[in-house]
Amino acid sequence: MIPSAATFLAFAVQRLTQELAPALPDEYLAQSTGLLGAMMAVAAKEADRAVDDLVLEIRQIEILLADARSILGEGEPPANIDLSCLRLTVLAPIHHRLTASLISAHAAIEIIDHEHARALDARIWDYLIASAERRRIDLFD
Amino acid sequence: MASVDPGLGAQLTSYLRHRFPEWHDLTAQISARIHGGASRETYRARITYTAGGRTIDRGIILRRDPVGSLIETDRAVEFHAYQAFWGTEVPVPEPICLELDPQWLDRPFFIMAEVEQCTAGSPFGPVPYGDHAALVGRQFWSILGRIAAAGIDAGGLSTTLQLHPEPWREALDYWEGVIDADELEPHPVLRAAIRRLRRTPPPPPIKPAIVHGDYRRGNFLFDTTGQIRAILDWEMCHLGDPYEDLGWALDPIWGQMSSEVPGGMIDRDQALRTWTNSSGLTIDPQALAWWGLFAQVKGMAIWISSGKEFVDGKNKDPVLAISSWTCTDRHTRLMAARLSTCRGLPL
Repeated sequence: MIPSAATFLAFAVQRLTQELAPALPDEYLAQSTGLLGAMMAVAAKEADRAVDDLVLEIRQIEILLADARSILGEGEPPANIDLSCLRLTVLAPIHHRLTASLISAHAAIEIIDHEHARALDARIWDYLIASAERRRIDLFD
Repeated sequence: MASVDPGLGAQLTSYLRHRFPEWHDLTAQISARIHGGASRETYRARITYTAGGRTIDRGIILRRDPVGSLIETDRAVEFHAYQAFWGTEVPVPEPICLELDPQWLDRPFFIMAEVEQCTAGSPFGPVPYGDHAALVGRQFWSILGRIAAAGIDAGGLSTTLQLHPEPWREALDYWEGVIDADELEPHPVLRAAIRRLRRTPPPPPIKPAIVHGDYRRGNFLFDTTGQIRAILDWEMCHLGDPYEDLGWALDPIWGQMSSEVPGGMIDRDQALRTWTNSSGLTIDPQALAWWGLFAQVKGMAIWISSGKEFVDGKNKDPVLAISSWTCTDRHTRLMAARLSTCRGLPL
């Protein structure tokens, strides 16, 4: 058995923040070491959830964009995005591209005074709130 | 490995002997690099010299331009702000000298007196004021009122700073430009906030004022009796709307995400009463709400910019990465909660 990445990172965080940082005589390096430990704690959490979050959100944004296109009269939606590769380096650019499209669609939808547009605006906000909450970091809370 | 270049003390000694020839037998010793704001390299040092027949031993703070920084600002603005308020009812460290010539310490820098036996406390995490929270809070909001009351001509600052006819537009244009230039991924909540701010601009300032630009928990020094001894980090100082500082200082991010006790000091109503009494100005709730949302947009711009500096390798201080990551998360959640509940309604 080998330690999991989460176990390794948790160990490293504990050593950095509780043992190594306090032992350093240089004030700036001690604080920097503590911050490095905090960065590793955040990275460990992000690494565990990132793929799940991105895949879920890519599918949700596709639906929101399709509904926006129907309200804005922008024709047929593109084919579903291929998510056969789950590497973060592949998923993140897809997520960024779709999010940029969502920003444009949201800007157009939110100024339309119509029942369907208002309903979609509310759904976009539901998505944005859930997305923000999904990325919550409890480091200092 | 130490965080202080071993040659820096000798360089500083050479410079001070050149700059202050009346200070005889001068020596300077850097004692530590400190996290005094990621926008400048900050060092604590002691200097000894004789002047007027007396031996002087005093602490100083050296603030040197970094290669990259959290906030890209002109160090001269910060130094002039210290000069403007030194000796007034707005406590600041004594400014000593500003040097723009890089021949001395490789990059521009300025020096101010160390305010000793004080602490700033972290802007995040547990509130650092203990039993002195109420005392610190009353001073904090009162001093901010005094800055607003000072007027744009205080200390000659208006000779180096310009008042824009629409301060809100100048501020929003500037920070949106930073976001456009530095964002590494799209931020849909932030963009919605910017659109909202542009659709519903605030009225003209109730009174044009000197704006500190980063007035918050963590940017002032207080002593063990709870007395605020110095307001720090004036590098974003400008002329504008006094509600800008108020909105920034009230932001929940400085109070463990609580809007009820901003900065973890005194409650919001008491804070605003203290500010109005001190400034002689009134509160326009709608205008303040605009500047409150603006504060979160500005915060996001700073966090985005700091993340870009770190990723580009211009500045590898981990405080840039951790503040970018955690504060982007916090401000995005705050803006999302606020905007989603006021769709079609006032802020």
